[in-house]
Amino acid sequence: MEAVSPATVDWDEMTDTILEVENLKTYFFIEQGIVRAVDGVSFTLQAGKTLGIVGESGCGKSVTSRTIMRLLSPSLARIVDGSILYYPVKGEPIDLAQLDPFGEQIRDIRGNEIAMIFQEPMTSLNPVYSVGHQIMEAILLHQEVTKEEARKQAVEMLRLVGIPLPEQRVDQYPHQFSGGMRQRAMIAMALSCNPRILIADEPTTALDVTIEAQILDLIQQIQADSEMALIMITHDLNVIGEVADHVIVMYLGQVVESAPVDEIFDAPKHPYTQGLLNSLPMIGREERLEPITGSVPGPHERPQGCAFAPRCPHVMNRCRLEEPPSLIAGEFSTVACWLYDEQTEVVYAPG
Amino acid sequence: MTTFIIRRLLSAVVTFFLITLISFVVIQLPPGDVVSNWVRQQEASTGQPLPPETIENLRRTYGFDEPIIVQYFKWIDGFPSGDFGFSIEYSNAPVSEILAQRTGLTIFLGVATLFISWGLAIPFGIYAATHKNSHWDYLLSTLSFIGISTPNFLVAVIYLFIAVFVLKTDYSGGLFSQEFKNAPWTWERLLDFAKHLPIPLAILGLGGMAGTFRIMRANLLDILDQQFIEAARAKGLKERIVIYKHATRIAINPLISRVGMQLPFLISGTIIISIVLDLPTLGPPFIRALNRQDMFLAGTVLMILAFTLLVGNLLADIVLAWSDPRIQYD
Repeated sequence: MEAVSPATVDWDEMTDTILEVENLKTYFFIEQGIVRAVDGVSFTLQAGKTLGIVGESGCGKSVTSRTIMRLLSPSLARIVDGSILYYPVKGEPIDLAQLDPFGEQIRDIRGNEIAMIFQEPMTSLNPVYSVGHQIMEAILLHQEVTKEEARKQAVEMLRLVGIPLPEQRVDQYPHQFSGGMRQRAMIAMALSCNPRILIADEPTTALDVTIEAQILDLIQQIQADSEMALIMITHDLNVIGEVADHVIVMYLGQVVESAPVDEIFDAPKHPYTQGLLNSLPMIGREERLEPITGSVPGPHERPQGCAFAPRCPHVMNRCRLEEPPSLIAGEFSTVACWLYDEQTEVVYAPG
Repeated sequence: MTTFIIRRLLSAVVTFFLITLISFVVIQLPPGDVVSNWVRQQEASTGQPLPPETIENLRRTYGFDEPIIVQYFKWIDGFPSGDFGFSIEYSNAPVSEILAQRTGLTIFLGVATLFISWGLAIPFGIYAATHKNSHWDYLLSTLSFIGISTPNFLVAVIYLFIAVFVLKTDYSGGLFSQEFKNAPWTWERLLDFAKHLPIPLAILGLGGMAGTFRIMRANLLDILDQQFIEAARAKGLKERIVIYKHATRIAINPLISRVGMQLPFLISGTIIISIVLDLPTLGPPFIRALNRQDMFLAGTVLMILAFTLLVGNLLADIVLAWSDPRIQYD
């Protein structure tokens, strides 16, 4: 087999590829030095499918999503390498990484073809405009409709996401909504222009478990009705198990393991993925929880060799010296770990 | 909303009368009164003591022998008919006559200063916040530090020095040339007034502008960090709309409450600068009245200050209630 990157490892045979991220590197240039927040991330997203991105805080999950949306301030963060190919319904693929972050082209895609919901429903809505106004704002921006039609659509969206009495709720302000209601309103806003991709950045982290289940159900139901692709970013493996088709596990800005969701849970390969699963409390579990020792190193304390080596229970001498490349581990999976070096060939070395 | 305004108005009226009572009493608290001050002055100029009967007579004529509370009610009794008492310092002239034009000019100066300092500070604040850590941001922030730490009367003195000794102009302060000082309003007088206005306005506006700029910059930076700003950008809105419609609209709210406080501060702030620049505002007679315990004059000026504070706060609350839906009316 010839050397190719994981992004082109034939997952796209199954369905239509809608987004293809390859060797993406987003670095922050701050006074204290360069922070390699996203350091060679590759993945492919298919229409109607869900990609889960997991990892602890500070692993570059949110920066990845904001890089795709081009929401990062160009004075702080720069895409130093890689591409983000978006495949529109018609025409040539667009490399989002090459667009002007304030330009018209990305603004036409943002909120229209790729929408996003955020972690903090309490602060994701502007407190001084009514919920309806904020939903209508997106509709009026991307669709050629009158204000009355936009308002009707906003009411319908609120009804769709399960907000009772949407005709009255549409004129209310965010502070009159509960946390779960606000996240529903955010989803209504994000879905108002029928996006082809929805990026959900820890959408349920700030919510109660009962509300969490409702919100996840809602997202899945909408996805089933609309062929929308979903990128679910979370640190919670339970959420991943619930919604994802394919999972990438991130550690310090890099993808350490990429596999279908069943493989991640049944046969995790990377010691970090194993560690995440072992620290997951589950009903009926007999053995003790085994948390991963230590914590994610700070952005300036990046270890030499494998970034996970200082916390890894299977660490070898080689790990401390050489950075492991992404190795093919199965039909649809890769893992970046020296433990699997003997069994597979090197397909991709992070540049 | 209407009940909110009515309730605020009623409480403002009560507060207003409490303020007049307190200021009237406080002015009389130090030993002596306006008569003893006047007597001392007379004795100093003639070199002979006034007979005690004359002094007693004076007190009786003016009603100063009665209890303070009676004097107070006699004083406020005249308010509805525009009678605010008289000033012994100004040869028994009615207070309303002394203050009429000065009040108008003072409020005009205060409001004009406010408009100018806001009109400049807010755009500068927005620019500095959206270009954080740029050269212009550093420059504006440094200038605002200087502006905020320099008392404006000092700026006035420096300006006078430069105008007279360095630039050799004949600038002598004031708001009118000599020939228009007591003239009725005509086009010529208005023109003359407009010519005199820029320098006091610039000096008065400086301090307030620096403070407003700093608040605007800090508020906007705070808001720009909020999640809903990123959410607005994620909708695909233009950066300009994100900044103005979503961020500035909220960042400006604390400035609205500031304006209620700033109005009387601007008016009392004109006191010292008015003496330096010889401006016909409330400042000079107020200082004179306080020195001599001329309580009707001093009390009336205090009352005007309190009135502007109340009106300013009332307006600020109403505008804020309208601009921020999170504020409850009832």
